Amino acid sequence: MTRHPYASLPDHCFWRQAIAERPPAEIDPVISAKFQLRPNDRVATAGSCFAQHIARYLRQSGFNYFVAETAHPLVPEHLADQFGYGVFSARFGNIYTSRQLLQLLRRAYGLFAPVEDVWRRDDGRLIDPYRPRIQPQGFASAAEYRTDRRQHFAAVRRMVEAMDVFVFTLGLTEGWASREDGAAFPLCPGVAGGAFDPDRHVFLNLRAAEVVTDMRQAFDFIRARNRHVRFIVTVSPVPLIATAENRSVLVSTTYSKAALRVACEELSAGHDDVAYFPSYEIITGNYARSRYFAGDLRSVTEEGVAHVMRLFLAHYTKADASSSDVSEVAPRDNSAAEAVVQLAVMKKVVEVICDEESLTR
Amino acid sequence: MLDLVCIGASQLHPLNGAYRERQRDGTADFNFYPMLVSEGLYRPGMYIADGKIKFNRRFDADFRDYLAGNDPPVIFTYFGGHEHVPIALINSPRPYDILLPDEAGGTPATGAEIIPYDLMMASCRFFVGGWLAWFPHLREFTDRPIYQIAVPPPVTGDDHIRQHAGSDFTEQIERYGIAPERLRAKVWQICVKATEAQCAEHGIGLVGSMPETLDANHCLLPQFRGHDAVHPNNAYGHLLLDRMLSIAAAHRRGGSA
Repeated sequence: MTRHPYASLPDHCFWRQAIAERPPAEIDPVISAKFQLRPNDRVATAGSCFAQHIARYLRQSGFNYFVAETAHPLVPEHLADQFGYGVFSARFGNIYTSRQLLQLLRRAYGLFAPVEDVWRRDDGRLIDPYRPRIQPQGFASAAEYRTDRRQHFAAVRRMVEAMDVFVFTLGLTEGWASREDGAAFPLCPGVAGGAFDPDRHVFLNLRAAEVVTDMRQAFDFIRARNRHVRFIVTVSPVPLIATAENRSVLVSTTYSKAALRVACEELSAGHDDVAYFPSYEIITGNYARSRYFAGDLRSVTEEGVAHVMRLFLAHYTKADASSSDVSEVAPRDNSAAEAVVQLAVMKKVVEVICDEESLTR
Repeated sequence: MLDLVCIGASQLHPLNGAYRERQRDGTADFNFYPMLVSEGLYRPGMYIADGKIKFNRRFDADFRDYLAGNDPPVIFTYFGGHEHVPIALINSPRPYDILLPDEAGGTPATGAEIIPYDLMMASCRFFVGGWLAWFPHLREFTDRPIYQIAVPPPVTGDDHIRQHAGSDFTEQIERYGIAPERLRAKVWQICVKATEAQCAEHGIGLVGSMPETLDANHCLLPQFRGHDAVHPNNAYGHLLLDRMLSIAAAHRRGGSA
């Protein structure tokens, strides 16, 4: 019998053993993790909409999901969520492209200030062009807008400098930018604020090499401020909702995801501190026969997200949320915890006062 | 004689106190019937059982009887009334500020984070929304116009607050300090706007704040302070009664206030 390199490979290298002959729910393309998340590691997330699922699961699983920009404790939780608090590690909304990520870092450290700074609505409300949906109705005043952005950038800096692991989900290669200074917008001007102007705005469709360059610069930027950080990159399995290229959105989706997938390979290969996690493959792999997509063939089902996160937690963590060492992680924001207690005490105190009021009459 | 009825919580006391004073000095040319759903017979006025909102049966019976024997042109309610107190009277361990849309200068307090105005408004709407279920319930008894009375303004004077604080309250004050009047007034203003918006959505009128009771910082003038850090006094109750009488009289004449 001829000896050849494939003869001694493990099952996961073979389609039949790893994919075709396995129940879909047991498919595990991760194989092994490059590094482990320790229970007290501060895990930060950012990226496209699929990254929200990762954030949600990390939070629910009890791991030390790091949110550097939390809503004030007096704000009811469901409202905080509506205003973009805790959806990601800071209130930056969806970051679809590598260009946006790099830009956010530079802006947070005062190294870049876009010319197109704010969009003013007809009713006077102000929209942040770089997180246009963070306030459902925009900001109420210029002072509030400036102050909130300053707070936001401070939170981004805290995230950069204190996180142990940064999970970034690449979503798109397509985007829109300012012709004047290259500022990258998360959404085309005019969609969620502002007005599209072909003389001011230009369409970009990043090449894989450009994504790699952006991401390397972003990672180096972070490493320069946090030498312990490790990165996990993923590609969002969510197809493009629309393409600005004059071609089928299916073709554009395939290009975009392929370029991002190549970029992840370039970023992670040979780098011990950068791991690729195959959420894209888990959701879109043909073994799943599209079962992980909802009726619109775009939204990822909860079952699909659960498959992704089950593998993520299984491979990247030694302990699950129920283990004792996880529960020992202390809350980092003591003032927030104290404020929650104070609020409860004050509500009780007011009740008592109101009771006493009746006694004085 | 004009019939006034008001359903609510502890904020009814200044109204009742003012009415009694008018009775004593013979100037009460109307009937005032307060129905306290936070105390005594009607407590709890509203509660949740089997996953449903339920109302005090005794209150229902008495309210029905009252309407059978009296003819108030409108129904006044004074639910809540201190929503701003737990969140704004004492300094938060995590200091915060709010920038009102029309606020001149627009600089938050030193060391304080800002809570976006819209988020604070949404939060206050949530806080005042706890008693909204009363309105459809009251509509089961009558189709008369309903007016909710706006939450009274924050009490002024740190010394007054310290002097009249209960023991639990004192502990909080000693630990965190009393919040600046500027912040307390802003939170109160947002609570009033939130109430107004909620009432409008439910077809409920609002007896708004009374400018004559406010100082330059939009806090309650000292002459209207009650016996604690939360409630106004009977002088405030008199002004409020006058407002209510005016609204009720306008409705009795067939108009609207």
